Amino acid sequence: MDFSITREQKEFVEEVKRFGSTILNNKEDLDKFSYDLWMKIADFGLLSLVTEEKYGGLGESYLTAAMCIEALGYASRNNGLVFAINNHIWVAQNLINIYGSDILKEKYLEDMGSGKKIGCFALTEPDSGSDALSMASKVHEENDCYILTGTKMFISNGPIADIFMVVARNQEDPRKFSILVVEKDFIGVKTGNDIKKMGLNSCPTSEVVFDNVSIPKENILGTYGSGEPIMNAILEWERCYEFAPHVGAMQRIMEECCKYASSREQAGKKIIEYQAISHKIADMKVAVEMSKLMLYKIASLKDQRKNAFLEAAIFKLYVSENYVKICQDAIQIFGGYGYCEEYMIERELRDAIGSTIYSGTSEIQRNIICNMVNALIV
Amino acid sequence: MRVVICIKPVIDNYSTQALQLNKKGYAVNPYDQLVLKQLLEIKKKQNFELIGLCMGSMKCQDMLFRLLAGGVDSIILLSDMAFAGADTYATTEVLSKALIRIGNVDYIFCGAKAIDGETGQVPYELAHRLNIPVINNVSNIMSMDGDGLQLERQLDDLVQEEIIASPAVIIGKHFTTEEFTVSLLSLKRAKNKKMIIWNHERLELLPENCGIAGSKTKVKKAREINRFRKGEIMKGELNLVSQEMLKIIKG
Ligand SMILES: Cc1cc2nc3c(=O)[nH]c(=O)nc-3n(C[C@H](O)[C@H](O)[C@H](O)COP(=O)(O)OP(=O)(O)OC[C@H]3O[C@@H](n4cnc5c(N)ncnc54)[C@H](O)[C@@H]3O)c2cc1C
Repeated sequence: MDFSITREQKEFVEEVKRFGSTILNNKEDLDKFSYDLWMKIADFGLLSLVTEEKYGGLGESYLTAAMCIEALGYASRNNGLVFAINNHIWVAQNLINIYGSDILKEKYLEDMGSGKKIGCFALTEPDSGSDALSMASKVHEENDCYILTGTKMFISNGPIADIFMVVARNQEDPRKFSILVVEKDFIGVKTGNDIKKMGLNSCPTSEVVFDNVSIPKENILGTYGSGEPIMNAILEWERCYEFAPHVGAMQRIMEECCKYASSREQAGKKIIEYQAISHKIADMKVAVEMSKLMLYKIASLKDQRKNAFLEAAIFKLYVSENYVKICQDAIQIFGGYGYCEEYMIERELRDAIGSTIYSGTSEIQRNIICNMVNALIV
Repeated sequence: MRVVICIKPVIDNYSTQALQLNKKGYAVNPYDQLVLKQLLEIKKKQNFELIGLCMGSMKCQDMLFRLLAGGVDSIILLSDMAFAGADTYATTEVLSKALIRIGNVDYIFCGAKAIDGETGQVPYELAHRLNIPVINNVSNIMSMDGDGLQLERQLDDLVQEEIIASPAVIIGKHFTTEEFTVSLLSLKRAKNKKMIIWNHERLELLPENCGIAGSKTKVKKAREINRFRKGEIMKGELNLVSQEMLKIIKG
């Protein structure tokens, strides 16, 4: 595996950093979704990074995309908007790019890349979270369409989405699942109000109800009943790329800590000279570098069209827990100022905590890791 | 129509890269940057060839490549150890030879001055060497079509719209440190655009006429002043802040 950065990748990364830090950091945009920013992000080309060129995309490698998304997290402190972007790309647009038929690609990819249509992924339900396969949503075939009924919960981008990737159980054979591509305007689709969360508020979240929604047969990923392996692949994409910006965010917070600790003096010394502080920063650096390595490894496996389910679970677990720890340590380093809104470190912590829950909790990642390791050994 | 914009690279102390991302490199001189922004805006509507001309080190290539992505058609980088240490006289010796080599140039745009050298002499010397007129104090470039170049000149308390016949050297009056965004797609497409590098041989120049050797002025000594200039950010009601400022000014 060769992760040496090419000239082109460097140019892309620098441009993303420039874009993120100049356009995406306004304070007034931090707590609500902005369509204006969304269109700027689309015009800049971020949404189309890996989409095939014939559908208006840039056709870049997954490694280049990983570097760009990491740079986005580094440059922009609007973690909610960054989350919305990655939800749209990795668990909606890129699914059509990979698993969609040519008809679906024609129908949606250009509009999703140009920002006209926003996507989301709907798996969780009010009564099925970690145990996602116990879902109640169901789908059955009827002449020339599928009929979908069910309620999905905590759907990121839900209130603003035009296209929902919905996982549902096949009524004909309940052991099987299908993934349907549902439009907001199909009759029977209802999205709830934005759920107030402790963080990530520029990414709206809601319940979505599908009440006997009739879906054209072409609007399916893979084939009818083939949803489970695709769903696992979706979680793999999500656990890698939705956590890639967190690696950049960790680096940004670490740098802020370095600067602050090198200027703040107590008892006649810069606080970075106290080992209790400097070791926290050292641990931050270790977490950033280890996360980067794993991110690039997964991206490189994806470029080789290889499975990375175990690696993605390890990455997701490691990044989310270290992201939260780094934010907590940052508050400690900033002292009372860190606890105040003005310094925006407490906001980072509120944004970070969700990462140990979405895309499968830490506990579930540990279950996956141990099960997979055990299966290899025993 | 063929248009050349002269771009001076300066040490980047002001861009987002430098201030927020802690990355020092070269940036476009802010006076040239404003002219460039205005030209790129017109280029979206009107068709003309825009060439960027820059004398500087090979390290400027990253900065220049971004300009190709931003809409400049081609870049000519004049880079040679023999060009180093040039004053305005030696600089215009090289630039004017390059402009003659490019040929058929209708308009040559320059910023009023560079934020490092601060002489403001280069555009006038260029015009003199090329024997063409100079239009200065240009505050806005309006259009560039069959009727020629239309622009606004700002003179004390008067703004004048003018049509300028070619060829001419045009000097922008104002500056900007606001950068333009370049999309990832245009960055990718810029790979197909040209960055040409010319040295003294290519321009048929003698090394003794370029750079420090060809300069009429030599810097004997330099010392920094105002290094520890203090600043204070005043926050609050505009009225109160202005009263506070007035007190400070009055002493
Ligand atoms: C900010 C945010 C955005 C989200 N976005 C989306 C989205 O876009 N689409 C979507 O479909 N979902 C989304 N979710 C939902 C998310 O995936 C679920 O919240 C998550 O999978 C956990 O499910 P749950 O909330 O029902 O918790 P539960 O499954 O009820 O878990 C409660 C607790 O029990 C533990 N637990 C449960 N089962 C086990 C077990 N077998 N072993 C050990 N511990 C266990 C959990 O780890 C947790 O600590 C989002 C959630 C958040 C917070």
